[in-house]
Amino acid sequence: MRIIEKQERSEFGVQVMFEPVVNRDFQLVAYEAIMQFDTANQEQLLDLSLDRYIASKTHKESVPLILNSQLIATTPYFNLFADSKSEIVLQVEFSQLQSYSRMQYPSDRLAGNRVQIVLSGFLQCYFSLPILIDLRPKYIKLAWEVIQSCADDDTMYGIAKLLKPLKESGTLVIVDGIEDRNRFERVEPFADAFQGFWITEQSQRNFQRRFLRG
Amino acid sequence: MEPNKPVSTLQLHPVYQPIVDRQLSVVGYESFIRGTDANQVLTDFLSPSLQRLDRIVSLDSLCKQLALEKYTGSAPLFLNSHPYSCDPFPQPLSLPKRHGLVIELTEHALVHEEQRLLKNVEWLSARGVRFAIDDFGYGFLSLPFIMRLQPQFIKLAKEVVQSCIYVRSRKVVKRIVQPFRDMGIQIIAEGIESEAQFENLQSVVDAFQGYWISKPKILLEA
Repeated sequence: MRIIEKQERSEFGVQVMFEPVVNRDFQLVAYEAIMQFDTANQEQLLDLSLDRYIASKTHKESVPLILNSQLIATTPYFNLFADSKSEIVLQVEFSQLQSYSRMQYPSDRLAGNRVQIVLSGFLQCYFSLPILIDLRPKYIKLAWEVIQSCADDDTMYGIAKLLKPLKESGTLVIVDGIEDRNRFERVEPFADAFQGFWITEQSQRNFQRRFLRG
Repeated sequence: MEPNKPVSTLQLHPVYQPIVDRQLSVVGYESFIRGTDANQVLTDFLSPSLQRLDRIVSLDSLCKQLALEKYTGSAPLFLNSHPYSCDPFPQPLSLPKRHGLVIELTEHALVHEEQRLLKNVEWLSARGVRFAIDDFGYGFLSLPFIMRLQPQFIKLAKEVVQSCIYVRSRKVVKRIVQPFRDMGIQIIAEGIESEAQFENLQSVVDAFQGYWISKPKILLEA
């Protein structure tokens, strides 16, 4: 298994990289697709949702694939993911959901298409409790400001307490931007999954160790 | 209506809306501004720009001053504070002696000089002023700001209250606000417009406010 997989799709001018998301035991739980575009094609690709299509096609693992969602009015394209091997997780911000309505973006239709939602920038963002209730995201990704504020003990314990009801209802908390062990250990009490430079590094080391052992 | 009429010449007066507990006993009043120039003030408040910061802060201060001067109640007075007012209770306002004071902030406050605001909050807290987070659950949210502010009240936005007509929504809202209640923060439901809403939220919140309870009104002399 390759931890970061690069795929070239020259016909579209897109390079896709997969960043690992791991649990506290460093087991892989998802990949996030990070895409680099040939600037000439970028607008067209975003408009057609092809970026996500390409990422889902080039992803060969069975773990969920997190895709950044630029546009919210893309429900017609959900069928692009229909033959994807893995669960697709669309990463959206609350600000993208301001025009949300049940008809436009029904959570049951998403689930029917094996599409899940990760809400990013969580707890430091435009926020709507009614949308959160309706959308039932499988994952939330904490905002950078929230992660930083965890340097203070009281804030960290408070945030852990306030995340508890969401976690109890089945939502998993992803913390991005893990750059060293200290940050990992700091957020470990309330995070379910981790992502970032340090995580990628650890994952690559684990892979190399396993690979060398044969 | 002149858009830049001098603040001192504006025709404004305060009205007060009661906040009640589960037994409908009044536990506070929130002030609102009315009058010939009220719409102009609201327009300034709702579409702020840093170029107009001085005017907005002056208007905010004037609204607070009028609300304090005309208030005849003995229950705590809830005063709104504009996000640009990093001193939520500036000179020459003086702290009331006859009743408590609760200043309502929105989390937008963090965008403009949060450190200065928190320093002023600390100073006012030491003098008995309490703080509320306004419009929680619909709009900009900053959990780190709430944690740093340590408010005594959180007011649920009317959109959240409206969503509570569904049993599932109510259950989720209850679960989400419970950790705040465990921290000693009282939850107030805004926008209560029917008896059904009041009844449905009995186990979710600690206090209620809205047209079903009372419209904002001029308070008579005590």
